[in-house]
Amino acid sequence: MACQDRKLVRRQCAADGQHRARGIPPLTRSPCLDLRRDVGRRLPGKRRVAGANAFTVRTMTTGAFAGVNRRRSPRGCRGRQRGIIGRDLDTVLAVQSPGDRTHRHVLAPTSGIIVQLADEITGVEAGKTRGQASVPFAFQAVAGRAGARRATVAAAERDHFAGRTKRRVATHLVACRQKQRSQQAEAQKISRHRTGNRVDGGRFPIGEGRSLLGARILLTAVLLLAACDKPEIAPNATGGEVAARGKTAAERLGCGACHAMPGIWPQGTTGPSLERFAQRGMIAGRYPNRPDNLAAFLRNSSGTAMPTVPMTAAQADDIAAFLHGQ
Amino acid sequence: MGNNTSLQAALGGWPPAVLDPAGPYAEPVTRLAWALLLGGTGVLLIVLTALAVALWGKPALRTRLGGDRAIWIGGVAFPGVVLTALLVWGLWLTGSLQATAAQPGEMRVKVTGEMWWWRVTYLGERGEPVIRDANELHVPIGQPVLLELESADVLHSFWVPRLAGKMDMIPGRRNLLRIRADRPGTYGGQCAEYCGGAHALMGFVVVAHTPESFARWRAERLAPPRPASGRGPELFLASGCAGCHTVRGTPANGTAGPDLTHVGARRSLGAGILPNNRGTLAGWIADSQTIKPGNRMPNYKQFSPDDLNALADYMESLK
Repeated sequence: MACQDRKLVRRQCAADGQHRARGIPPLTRSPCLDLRRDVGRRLPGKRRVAGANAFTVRTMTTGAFAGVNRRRSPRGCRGRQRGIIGRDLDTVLAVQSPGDRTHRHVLAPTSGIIVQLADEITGVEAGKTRGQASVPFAFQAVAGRAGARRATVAAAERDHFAGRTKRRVATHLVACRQKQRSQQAEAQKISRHRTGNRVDGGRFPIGEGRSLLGARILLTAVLLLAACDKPEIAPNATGGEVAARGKTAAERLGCGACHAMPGIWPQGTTGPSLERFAQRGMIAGRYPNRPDNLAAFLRNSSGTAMPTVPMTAAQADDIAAFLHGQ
Repeated sequence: MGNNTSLQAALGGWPPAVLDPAGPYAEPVTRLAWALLLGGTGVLLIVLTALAVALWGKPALRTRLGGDRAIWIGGVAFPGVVLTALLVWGLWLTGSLQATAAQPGEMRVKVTGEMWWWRVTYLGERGEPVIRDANELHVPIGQPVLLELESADVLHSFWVPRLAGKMDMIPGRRNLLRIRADRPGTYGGQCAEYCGGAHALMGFVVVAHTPESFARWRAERLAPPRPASGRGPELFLASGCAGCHTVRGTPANGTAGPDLTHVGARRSLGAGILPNNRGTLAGWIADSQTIKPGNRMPNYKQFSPDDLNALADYMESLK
């Protein structure tokens, strides 16, 4: 896993060269940024905004680029992960613009994996068993180079993302762990690598965040997690807490008088049922169903049959997270 | 119960702490309950010890346990003494709870259980109704309040665990109960006698005020109601709401349902089951049968969204 970071850095430098040659400022407008926004929207709770940055960079520095190398050189780690990368690469390449040769094999697999991770991580519920192949990736995205053994430990330690890893995969990954450890320092460096860090007028704010306290906290948690055999922080506790707060707020405001909501009494019928609300297309038939739109709508529903019930912005955010997280 | 959390939020006193008395009329009941629990545990331990001796004890002990003397002492004298003492003590302890007729100058409130809500009428010196309310009882702290408990239909039971024991409400009878709250706060209550389908959804709250705050509350309730504006009052009358509900200061004078003159000021809606805001008001008007199946108020689904909102705003403005 991530055994050949140096090769990868060289490839990135080459890509940067091509950027410059074409007069494009590196990473001011790249598929990665779009993806980060995209991923960020889907993450639950506080991680939604700030955490997405840490999430993306971590993903790029671990599984994703390593996947490119492995695909090229089958001597690397095997297992089902290759299947995932191959599949996503094909999918993304099919969508990617044919003229975008610069990013072929560089950003494409990254994006594929990020998209998949976003889907998986945001779709996981506590206590559910995960698909085996996705475990190392999903876990790595959150915990960096924790490795398969620690992923299993985390699974036993109520890590909601991780399930049981397959022994076959674990063996391969453990074999790589020695190298991973020696490259730990380098990984830190890579999280500030120019490809990931550079924006116009400054660094990518993962290291010295301007307003990204959340990202730094998450990164700290991630490093702690990777450093300990027994993680003390459940990675998605934040999302769960926000949803729980949202549920309490919905009960306190009596939303159930008109709406059927999961786990809330009463189950009113005047308004539409809000069960599995995240799968709705529209809010009140007017706005795209995104948590931020929903929170805004909750605070001002004028023009619809729903009375504007007085609530704070924080309450609205929590309820939106609750409805989207169920 | 799924509604506990919403009640807790709306009323601040739910679920009522059964073993935490807040007044002199609840305290003896709690003490008696603890005494019974501890005494019962002691007796259970004695019996289990005797059982263990009978099964595994030395032969000499077993012979003594099976003898006449042990049976006379353990089987007749001990229960006789303990139960008699308990009865005397219990009667002495709870004798003060027996409510007597109203003392001069004492605050009197008539509470009538209906399916499934509480009609609350504050009585004047001569027993005439002064303030009409529902599902909420406001009392000043530190002074006993005499409750005259009646029922309009079936058996109910008035129970505010932190202020008094249970007292049945029996059709055709008037039961008296005194309560006294020593600290300001809200004290949740619940119907404690099965009274039909929505029995579990028949809650209420006692709000204990400091004397100054109580005087203010009383003055507000006695003041003539402020005239309301907007389409709400008109809709209220035109839609038939006035057939069952009273809003003082308007032609609405029905008495089958709760008095709505101050409905916007109540802590809860539907007898302690929903928080009170314009959202729940609208939901209750349109669809009270889903929220509280079988209650006497029909669903009013004919309102347009604008009308429903206007009506809910009007209700909310009735403070």
